Amino acid sequence: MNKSFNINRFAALLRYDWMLGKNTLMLTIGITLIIYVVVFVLYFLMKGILAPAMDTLSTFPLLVAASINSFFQYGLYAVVFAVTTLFTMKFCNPKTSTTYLALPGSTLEKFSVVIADYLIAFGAYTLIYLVVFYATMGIGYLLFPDLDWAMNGLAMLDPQYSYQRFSDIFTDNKENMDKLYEQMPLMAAEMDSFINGMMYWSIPSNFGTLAIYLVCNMLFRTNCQLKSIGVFVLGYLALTIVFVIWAVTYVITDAKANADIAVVDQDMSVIMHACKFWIVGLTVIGLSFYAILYRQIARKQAK
Amino acid sequence: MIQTNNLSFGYNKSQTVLRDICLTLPEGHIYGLLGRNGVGKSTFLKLLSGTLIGKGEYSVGGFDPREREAVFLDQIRLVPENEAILNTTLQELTEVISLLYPTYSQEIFRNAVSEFDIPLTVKLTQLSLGQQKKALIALSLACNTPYLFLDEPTNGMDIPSKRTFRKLVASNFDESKTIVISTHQVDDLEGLIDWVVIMENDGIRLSSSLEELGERFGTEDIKEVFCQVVENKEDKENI
Repeated sequence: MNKSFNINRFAALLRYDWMLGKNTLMLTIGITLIIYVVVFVLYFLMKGILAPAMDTLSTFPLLVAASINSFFQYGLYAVVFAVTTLFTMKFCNPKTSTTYLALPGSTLEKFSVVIADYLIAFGAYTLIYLVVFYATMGIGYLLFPDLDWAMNGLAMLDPQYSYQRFSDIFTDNKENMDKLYEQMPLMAAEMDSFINGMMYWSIPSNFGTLAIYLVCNMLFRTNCQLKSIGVFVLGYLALTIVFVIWAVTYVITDAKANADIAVVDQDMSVIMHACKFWIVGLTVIGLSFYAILYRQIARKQAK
Repeated sequence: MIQTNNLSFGYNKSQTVLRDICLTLPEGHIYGLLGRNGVGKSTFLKLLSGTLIGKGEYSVGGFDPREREAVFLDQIRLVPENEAILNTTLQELTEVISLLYPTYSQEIFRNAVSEFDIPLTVKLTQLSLGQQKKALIALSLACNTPYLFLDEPTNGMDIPSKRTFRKLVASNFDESKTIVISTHQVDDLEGLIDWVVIMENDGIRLSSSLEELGERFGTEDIKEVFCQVVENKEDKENI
């Protein structure tokens, strides 16, 4: 085992990696988070100033909150981008690839460094996001203490608020789970929802996306990053078109023809099953791509 | 020992850079790998270090470089002609590199840094080309690996630095090591190498110790021999 994986060598390679790409990683995460700080501050100010003049359940801040929520996902893709940039530098850049491939370290160690890069960037990003979120929320509370925050879509800013809870999909005991959540303190429930959301959507989709990106990077000889993004965007568009066609031909037509609750429930059941397959399918696809990536690293050549 | 048997390599199917290279380089020598631009000297060193994957049989120290095993990679050190310059200081870089090479010697590093007069705490990207080159050579000498491959190491160096380079390489060499220095600046290796390998487009034209050169060519002047070999292609069979 020491021959193929040595923890000291792995740590040294990770440190080398940090020296190689710290600027890229910090820049990407920094820019993304600065955008969040600005958006959050604007949101809280807007909410504090506008909400008293409007109804308590103002739809305007709710919509803004929903938009910010989806930004969280885009931010995660920025992390994927930063990690792939680092990866491209290591294995696809003519200068760095020669040096890096010749560094003492097995394929397993160099592969593990890629995974570690992602996990560190992902963890750092998520942690800083939460800190920014709760800090700006706290400032909002201090500035506008009279506002009924719980009623104005604040919870929607919680990164995973709009996502289905993991337990809802894999258990049939939804009512009991709901009761359990109601009894939990607010913060604990939020954190639970956040972690479940991560497990359900963010990690599988983000991690799977990363694998596809990295495999693409290895396939191209020049402009790896740009071409990989191109392939990914085209693939994403193709999937969207397939999904839209499916939605139009199956869901909408079917719902119009059978506009009763039972059919809608049946459709929801189909979607829930699809979600189960999505999680399992994405995990399998992601792992397959990581296996391909391992092989690519083993056979990678300098330029 | 470095052994190649029908080693071939091409960057694509239509462009073969090296064809059927057969060469044996015993340990305990400093080899000068000479040849004109574009004959494949850098490619050859990259193949030996495992960063390129060639066809045929070849081994370095009993290892197949293509496998890129960690136990093989920590015995070799390649200094490419255009090495990546990290945005970090030499001090920080050496801390990491020292963890990767079990044979790393802090003493050699300190001596090389002092001889080359390189700043430790200035970022490498802020150094001149010559200083960057010296910093990377100091680091590679300190790795103290049994196999050291230097690709055009003196490019960008001033004359005193070239002299220091020769002195450092010679002083850190012993019989257990093998150093291969690729260059087209033959003068820079004068008095340093004890074995000459001359490459041409059609393969290895000459592999000989300096002593044998004297017997075969009537001179030990590498530049003279190089010109004779490269310009006199008909003599290939005799070499």
